Amino acid sequence: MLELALFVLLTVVGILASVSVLSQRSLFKSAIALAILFAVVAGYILMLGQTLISLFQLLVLVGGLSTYLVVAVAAEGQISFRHVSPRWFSAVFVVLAGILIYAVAINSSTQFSSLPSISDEIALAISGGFGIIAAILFLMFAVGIGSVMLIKRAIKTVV
Amino acid sequence: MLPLYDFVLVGVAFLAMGLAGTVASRHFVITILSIELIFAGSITALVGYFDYSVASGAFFPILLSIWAVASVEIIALVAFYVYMKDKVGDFDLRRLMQLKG
Repeated sequence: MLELALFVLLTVVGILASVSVLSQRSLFKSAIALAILFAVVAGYILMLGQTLISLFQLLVLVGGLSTYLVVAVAAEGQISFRHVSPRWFSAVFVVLAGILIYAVAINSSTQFSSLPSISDEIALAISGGFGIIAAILFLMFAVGIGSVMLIKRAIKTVV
Repeated sequence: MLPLYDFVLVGVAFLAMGLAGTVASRHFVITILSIELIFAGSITALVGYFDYSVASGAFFPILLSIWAVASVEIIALVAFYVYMKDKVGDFDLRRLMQLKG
């Protein structure tokens, strides 16, 4: 039950973050949404019991790439525009998602149903101490990106 | 108990969203960020599928490749962003055709 609740929470946050990447008018917010999406993917990997891979995902994509993206591009502040046409995006998304989900669904009965499912992977991952390390890393990156936001706001106020 | 199907579906949803963003936007930065969405979906589906079906850890070289490509893509994004901001003044993807060479 806890596993399902965590999965649903991660999925909702992930879908909202990925929509925000494409719909935010500010590039800065898009970059932060992308960082959140990468952190959600790290959460999925942690759920699957791949603790070390989850840490790498946090370090490489959230800590490295997203912070670099925020600092190098998005923190300039003057970038504000309309990203994607919502109607055009929705139409393309529905068509592509339909095709891809159909492709997955027709294979599900032959391949996926025969595979075992996991139950205690989260407990196993957290008991190894990796969950705490991942949480600390996530907080550190959140503080780093938050610091950039505060510095940007302070500079805007002073200048 | 979560079946593999859920992880693959979430990966497919991210992938479709990234593909749709790539097709629907001509903005250079958004196109690159959409490709990052595709990478996120690929990683989710890849780790899920290999974790359920193949020996654990067998996917690491593929994952390393995805991370490397994603890193190079962000570096290219910053480089082209600086170029387009200074030289072109516009972020329309078609303006990259103006590059020499």
